[in-house]
Amino acid sequence: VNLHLNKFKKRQLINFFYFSLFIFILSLIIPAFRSPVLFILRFPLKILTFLGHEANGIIFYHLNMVQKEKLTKEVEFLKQKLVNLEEVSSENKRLKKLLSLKEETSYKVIAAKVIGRSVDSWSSQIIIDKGSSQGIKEGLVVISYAGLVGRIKEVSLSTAKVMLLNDLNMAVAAMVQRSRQEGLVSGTLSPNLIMRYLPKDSDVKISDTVITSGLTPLYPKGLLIGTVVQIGEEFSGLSRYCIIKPAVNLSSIEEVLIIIS
Amino acid sequence: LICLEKKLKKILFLLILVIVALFQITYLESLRIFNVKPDLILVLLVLVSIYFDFKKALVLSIFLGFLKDLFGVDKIALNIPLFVLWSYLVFKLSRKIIVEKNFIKALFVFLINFLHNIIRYFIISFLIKDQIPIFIFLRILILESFYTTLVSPLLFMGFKTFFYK
Repeated sequence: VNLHLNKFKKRQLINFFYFSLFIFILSLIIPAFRSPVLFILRFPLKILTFLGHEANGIIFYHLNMVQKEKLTKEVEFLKQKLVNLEEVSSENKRLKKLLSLKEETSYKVIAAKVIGRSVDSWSSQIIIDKGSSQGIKEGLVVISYAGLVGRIKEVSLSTAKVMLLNDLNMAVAAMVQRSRQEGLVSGTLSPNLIMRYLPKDSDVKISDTVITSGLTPLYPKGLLIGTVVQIGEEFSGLSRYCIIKPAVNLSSIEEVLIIIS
Repeated sequence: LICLEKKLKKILFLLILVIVALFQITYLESLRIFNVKPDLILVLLVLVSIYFDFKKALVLSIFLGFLKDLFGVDKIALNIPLFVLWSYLVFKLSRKIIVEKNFIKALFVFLINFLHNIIRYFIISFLIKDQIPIFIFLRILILESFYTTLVSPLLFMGFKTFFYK
């Protein structure tokens, strides 16, 4: 009986070993299947996103109406302001020419729609409806009309995953626009971001604008990140940190622009 | 005909699992509270581990883990081995405790979500090579576990309706 029992245990152990090996191999090869499966799933994802968008429009009809009126007034005001700015811009161009400064080129971008979001609370990402067939590559910077959004983390043929600014894996070299004080902006998995490694005597104030500093080669200089809403001192007492409210509402973003060059 | 009906029901069930996973990455985003959302895929894992036999539960746990890994960005599909482990744990526990009451099932969901978040925390801490602030960890660990537990009875009802019809 003992021999039989030992044989049974041995067989169970071998089965367990083979099963564990199978799971391990599966864990390694599954990421390779993401691209084709997401290619198939992009249609139902698009449909679900569209339905959700339409439902939101109906549910928040009154809010949208009030907002529309407010924005129409704002557009009129901004139009007037734009005329003045165009004048300043042309003057700036003329002066730059006189000083022989290299003219900065505007970014070449691709617009994409958000069709999915992160699967759990431990990451902050979006899935967009543009992929490698449209020229999207891993590492490209993603922005919106309001400011920096994140960067491309994974690309498939027709979709791509964007890691948002508030993901824990994100770190962007940034600076305070007013004082040129540099720091590192990273995600906190909450709507706000944190700017760290600021010297104790750094010149940072509430409502200061934070932009990319260009020190991280991936991110072009001058992209708007957000505004300072809180300033604090690190536990060590050697440096300060500040909480930043992103310029882009990362939780409700629907369209993004990918800088391709 | 009965065989065909059974097969259709199986396909329909797999389709429902996929739809729930799609819901997880689309509509559930608007239900975020303190930047935390319930994990419906984990609730499904608990349900299949309670109601199905061991082999079926194991296969479905791999399928659910695959669905969750599909929408993530990790280089290794970590949810598959974790889901298999949780499925085994729930299966063994559910054979020792009477799980007919929703309260017990919800307790299982809480326990599994709690354990899953702890493991995820250690994995992420290891991957990003930086200490995740403790308040972020606690916020996700506690709030997500409670939130998922509170939402889970809705899925229990849906599951029951589907299988007892």
